Amino acid sequence: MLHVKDLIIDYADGTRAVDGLSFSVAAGENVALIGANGAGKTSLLLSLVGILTPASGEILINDLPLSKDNLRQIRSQVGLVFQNPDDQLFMPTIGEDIGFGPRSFGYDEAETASRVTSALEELGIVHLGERSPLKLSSGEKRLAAIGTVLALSPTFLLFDEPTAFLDPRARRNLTSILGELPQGKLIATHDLSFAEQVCTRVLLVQKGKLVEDSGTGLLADESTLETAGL
Amino acid sequence: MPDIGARVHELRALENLAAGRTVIHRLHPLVKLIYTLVFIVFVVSCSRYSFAGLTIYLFFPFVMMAIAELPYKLMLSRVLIALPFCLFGGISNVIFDRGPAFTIGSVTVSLGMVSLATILVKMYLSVMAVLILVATTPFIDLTTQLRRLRVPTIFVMVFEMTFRYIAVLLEEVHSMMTAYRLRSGNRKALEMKHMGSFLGQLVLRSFDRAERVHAAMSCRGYSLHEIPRAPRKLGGVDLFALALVCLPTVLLRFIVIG
Ligand SMILES: Nc1ncnc2c1ncn2[C@@H]1O[C@H](COP(=O)(O)OP(=O)(O)OP(=O)(O)O)[C@@H](O)[C@H]1O
Ligand SMILES: [Mg+2]
Repeated sequence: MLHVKDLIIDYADGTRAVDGLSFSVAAGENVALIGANGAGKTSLLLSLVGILTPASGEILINDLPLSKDNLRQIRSQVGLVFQNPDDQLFMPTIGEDIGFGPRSFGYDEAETASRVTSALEELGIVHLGERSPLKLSSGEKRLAAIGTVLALSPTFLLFDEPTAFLDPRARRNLTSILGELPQGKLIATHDLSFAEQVCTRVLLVQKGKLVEDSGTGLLADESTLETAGL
Repeated sequence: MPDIGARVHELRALENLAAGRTVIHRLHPLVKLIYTLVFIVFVVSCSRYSFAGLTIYLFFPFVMMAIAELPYKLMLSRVLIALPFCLFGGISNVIFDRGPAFTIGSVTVSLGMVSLATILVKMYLSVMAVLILVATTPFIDLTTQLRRLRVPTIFVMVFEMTFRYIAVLLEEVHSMMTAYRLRSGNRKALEMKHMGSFLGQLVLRSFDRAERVHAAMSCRGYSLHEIPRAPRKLGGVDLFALALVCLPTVLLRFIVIG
């Protein structure tokens, strides 16, 4: 269970990006996070892996409260796939990049290698293992970035605009891959039809506040979406 | 400027070479690190007029590159980057150190010229040694060894970050230059009046980018204080290899160069 209670996030310049959010995501549940530009989606995701420190509120991952001391444990449980894969891929080859996490977490070479192989297989990108991230298409980079996170076998996956830059085919491929991954997911997206295909529940945020928490029926409710600025 | 994109690729190319599987690649990283240090110390400690003796070392890098299957052209082009700095330092010797060294026919070669040549050879050998080290050892293994040798964390960290950061910085320059050219009638170079805001933006953007890359690294367990992977133990075979590679260097230094 990923549990967020009364979360408030302020930036240094005083902007309140998240303003009292509370919700939970159950194990294996796929939840869409929608809201207009600047609604606070990215800020929320960053706080769930401890990159942004909330001003107040509580974050529990599988009953473990997120704090400075157990950041490592939390980060092996929750994997964030960044909006821009270029930020996430920094090693010379995709294989090494996927191995970076397991190595940092102290797994030995054999375990690291087997985690790399299974992440590549799970995403159907075994052929990219030896390639450099600089020479991949956006779709391939996106899958590679997901691989870097899967290698730590987290129980929750967070995605920030996963369909950005993808062509229709890469998008379909991603849809079916996300559908098959067993982890609980929180997916920030502007792509409503993608949200409808992958998720069973929708959180609608506006100016840092939760305005709706309901089924995917919400995605067809144009007047509600419009009042939330979408 | 126009081919910064290519530069980024080149920079990563050196790193990509480290994924090779030759004997040199498989040597223990600590063996390579120590040998590189020994080699550089021996080369640099030769006297300032030891040009003739030093030339014996010139074939060392070629032997290493051959065994490690490294592309000569790429490696040599990297060495040239350091050339201007050494020329700058060495030229003053030519000016001040006018004493005769020897004469060829009617031309007198001055001590200053010999010492300039010596500096260039020393530069070539040292830079080459470092390049070969980097091209045969994954970066993360090198920094792991540095940590193991108790090099202060802050130095290792700066080293790691600089290494990642150069690529990040070049990529930013590349995309900003592209955007600039597209809207400036395809000018090749930056106009002076745009330089200030361009550089300011560059610094801001690359900080921003570096921050995100760092966030991504720490999400996956990168930590400034811990050894990122269990380092391979140094075995008898590794020590033997170390002795084996150091021997010719040391012998040459004392027997031939003196
Ligand atoms: N580094 C920052 N410093 C100050 N304010 C920021 C910073 N990053 C974001 N903000 C502000 O915080 C608010 C929430 O931004 P956030 O990026 O979380 O929104 P978002 O929902 O992800 O938007 P988008 O859909 O455009 O990605 C916005 O008002 C934004 O201007
Ligand atoms: Mg965002």
